Amino acid sequence: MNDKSLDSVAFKGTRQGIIVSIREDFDFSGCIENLEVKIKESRAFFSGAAVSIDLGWRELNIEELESLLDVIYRNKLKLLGIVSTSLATRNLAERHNIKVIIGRLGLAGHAGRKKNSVQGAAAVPQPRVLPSDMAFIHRKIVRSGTSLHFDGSVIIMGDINSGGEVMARGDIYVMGAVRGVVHAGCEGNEKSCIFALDQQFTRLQIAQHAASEKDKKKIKKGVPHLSIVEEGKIISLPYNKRQ
Amino acid sequence: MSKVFVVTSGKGGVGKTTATANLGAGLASIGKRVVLVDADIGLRNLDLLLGLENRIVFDLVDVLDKKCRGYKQALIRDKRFESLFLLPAAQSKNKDAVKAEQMKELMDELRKEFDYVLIDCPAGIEGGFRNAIIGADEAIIITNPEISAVRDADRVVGILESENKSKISLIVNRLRSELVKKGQMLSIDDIRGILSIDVLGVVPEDHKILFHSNKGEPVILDKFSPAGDAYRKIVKRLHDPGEPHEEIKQSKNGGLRSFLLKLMRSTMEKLEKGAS
Ligand SMILES: Nc1ncnc2c1ncn2[C@@H]1O[C@H](COP(=O)(O)OP(=O)(O)OP(=O)(O)O)[C@@H](O)[C@H]1O
Ligand SMILES: [Mg+2]
Repeated sequence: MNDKSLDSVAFKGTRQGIIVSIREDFDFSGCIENLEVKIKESRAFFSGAAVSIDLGWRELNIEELESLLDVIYRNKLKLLGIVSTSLATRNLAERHNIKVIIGRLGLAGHAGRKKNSVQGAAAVPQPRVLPSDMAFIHRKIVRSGTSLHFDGSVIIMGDINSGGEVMARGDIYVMGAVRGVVHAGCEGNEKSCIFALDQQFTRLQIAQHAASEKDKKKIKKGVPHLSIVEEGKIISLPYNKRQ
Repeated sequence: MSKVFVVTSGKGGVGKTTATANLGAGLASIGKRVVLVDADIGLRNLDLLLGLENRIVFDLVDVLDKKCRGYKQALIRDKRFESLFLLPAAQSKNKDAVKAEQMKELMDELRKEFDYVLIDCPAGIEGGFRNAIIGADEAIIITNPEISAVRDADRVVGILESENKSKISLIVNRLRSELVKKGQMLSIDDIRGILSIDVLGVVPEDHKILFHSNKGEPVILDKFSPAGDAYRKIVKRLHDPGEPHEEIKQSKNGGLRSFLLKLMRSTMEKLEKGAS
């Protein structure tokens, strides 16, 4: 199983139990397989746990629902209910005497979509692709072990720590220090830029270009920098000189 | 109101168990009812630091498996403090023997009896770590002033934040100010700059700790030890968060960054309020 398909399922522990989010745009049987693998990997975390399943807008058929229930019961989990925005899925679940909630948490977001969780059960409508004159805002520090993808430009309100990673189809503006990995224009847009109040990245990329050691050495600690592509190379300029 | 803390770090050997023993003894010395839970199953240590290793009959896994009558049968009372108890880890049993839900139930039971529950977490971020954090409301992160320990702490803070722990604070252990002055060791400002969490205290490197550990006597009881002094301050701060920090100067550098950040945040809050 490759890494990508492992992302089709995500978990979050809560006081009431574990929320399992299953991505809408993946083949369901793959998701189910993946779910079982993950449950087996974290036996201690899951054993005897109560779970809620977030299916997003996916429309389940009977066989699919039964394969899901099968995994849950075979692994001795308690099913609290199903979260779904699909009427068909909710009706089907209700016919099986399963509690349903209207909504979508989307912990396992689509590739390219903002990956962090949406609080609360209400579905938040979000455009799939952001117009180029708008940006996402991420209000948390990007800590070690976190990897975020944005389908557009993004403003990060905090640092990107060493071991953390941010990729965006558009620009990346960091209201903090970059110590980890940043990749703007990750689908090939060389016009993208990366701005940070402190540019101390481990790796910086714009489109297919990567910042060289030489460029990195020129960057002064604690000085805001703007990195762009010029003549096929990344250059990072202290921000005050570019007004 | 009782509180359940997990003492955790990511990286091993940074001083979690030492901190748990000292904070426990310190809180008990001011009359709080405290239980220390050794969740480092298979690598039991906390009993040694308290000098209680000879008294263990039942352990955490026995309690969770209901091999004894409730947790009370497994609790060991400290020799020095009436109100300090230890729930020891199993030494021989497999750590997969513990289930997260059971751990959470047990912590909720303990919370009814004690003012403070301190859980000594195993290193790493695997199953044992998950079991140790699940029942806690707040976390105390222990780190050393070195880049690898800080990065692991960052990882752990990220996980704890996503588990919605109400408060996460930091103890920097084994600081050597002479090395910080020479620029050979990360300073408190450096570490706080990276982790962005509240600093609960700073414990200096202190060779006496080893001596005290071997004697089974927490260093906080030593009136002449600098580390003991640091732990006494942390204890005060734990039950009174207003307690001042003498050892941490408010930083003056990083001014532009924090200024811009504040400006951006307040602007955005205003915009949001205007929009809704
Ligand atoms: N402030 C200090 N000064 C000097 N030595 C210290 C200090 N704090 C802890 N130590 C020493 O560091 C070692 C590791 O401490 P401890 O066992 O508390 O770490 P731990 O994080 O619990 O380790 P593990 O991850 O293995 O459980 C011990 O030998 C201890 O005596
Ligand atoms: Mg330990």
